[in-house]
Amino acid sequence: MYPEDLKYTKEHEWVRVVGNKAIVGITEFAQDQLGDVVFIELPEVGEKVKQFESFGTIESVKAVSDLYAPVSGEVIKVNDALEDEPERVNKDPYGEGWMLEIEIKNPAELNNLISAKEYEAYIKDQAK
Amino acid sequence: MAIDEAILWSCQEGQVPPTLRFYTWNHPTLSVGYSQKVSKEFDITTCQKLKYPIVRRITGGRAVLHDQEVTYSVVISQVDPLFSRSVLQAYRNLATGLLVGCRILGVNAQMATKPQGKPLQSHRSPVCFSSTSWYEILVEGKKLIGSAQKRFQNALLQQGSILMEFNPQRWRDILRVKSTTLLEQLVQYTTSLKDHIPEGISREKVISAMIRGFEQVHGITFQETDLTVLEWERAHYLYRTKYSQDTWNYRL
Repeated sequence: MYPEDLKYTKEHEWVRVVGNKAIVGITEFAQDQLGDVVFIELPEVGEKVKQFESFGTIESVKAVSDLYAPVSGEVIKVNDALEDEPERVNKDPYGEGWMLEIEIKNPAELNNLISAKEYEAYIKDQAK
Repeated sequence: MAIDEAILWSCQEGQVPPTLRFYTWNHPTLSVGYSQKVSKEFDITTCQKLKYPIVRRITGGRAVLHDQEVTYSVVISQVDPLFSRSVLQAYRNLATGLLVGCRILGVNAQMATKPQGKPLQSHRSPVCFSSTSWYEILVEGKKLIGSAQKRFQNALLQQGSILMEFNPQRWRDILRVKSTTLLEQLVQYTTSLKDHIPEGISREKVISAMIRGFEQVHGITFQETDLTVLEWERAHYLYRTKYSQDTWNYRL
């Protein structure tokens, strides 16, 4: 449920690090909590995002929530398909439901993220 | 709407306590969800003719016609026991207060449970009361209270509408696509207090029951206050710069 090759934030984003790039999405837990996603607002390519600051908005049938950047850097790709098919986030949060690709500005920031095991423990703790 | 956001803003900063607010509207008003496409879904000319202003919420969900209803809002911050980082848990916490409020009114309401195996909807209805989802307040399977949230890391705002009466004809007037199916769905899935309290009830009694519902369920006592000076200032500012602007309301 929480792929071990990814890093996570406590705000339920995942990051796949490929070289100096970070691919970002939200976790299985987050999509399940939100319910059917109906709308996603993402930044434009070229915009700069800051670690743990809001980079966009996700709306489900239940709530509008902010999305938080797991790392700082420039947005180099955006998953435009989510505009018409936001439900991809529900169906395949770690695959077709990816949101952004960020060029990592400071690799040391990756140390502020948590592992799959830590994330799973964090969720269990939250559910208590 | 500006006041709700001003309360949220102030509560996030710890300037004001968690707040339950009830209000009504000077004129029937159509509030739309954060991401709704107003001109695609509603007949704006008719809304103008009928003098129904349109305002966009920061919360999600679909359109509500604030007419014969009581609007409520709840703002809680992360230090409040009712807050939860889980969307569903937070909904549940608030829904239990509303549920007991309904029961105090003698209305046998239930909380909607998570639909199992529900297919994803690619074409959503523009109207809030035409469908139900988790932890909304239903009577005999029909929606009585519709709610939507805006969540932050440290606080949340939930806004909702408690229907006193329901008139599907008004929706027929203002919807752009006057789909019979949608109107039938609305009738099928919507109820109002009038259906369950035939002798009628005042808004004041509804509000008082909801307050008692929250107090009983959560073991709290509310203090009735006016907004603080800071909240008023922020509300005026938000009204001026956001909620009175077509750029926000129509996303122009």
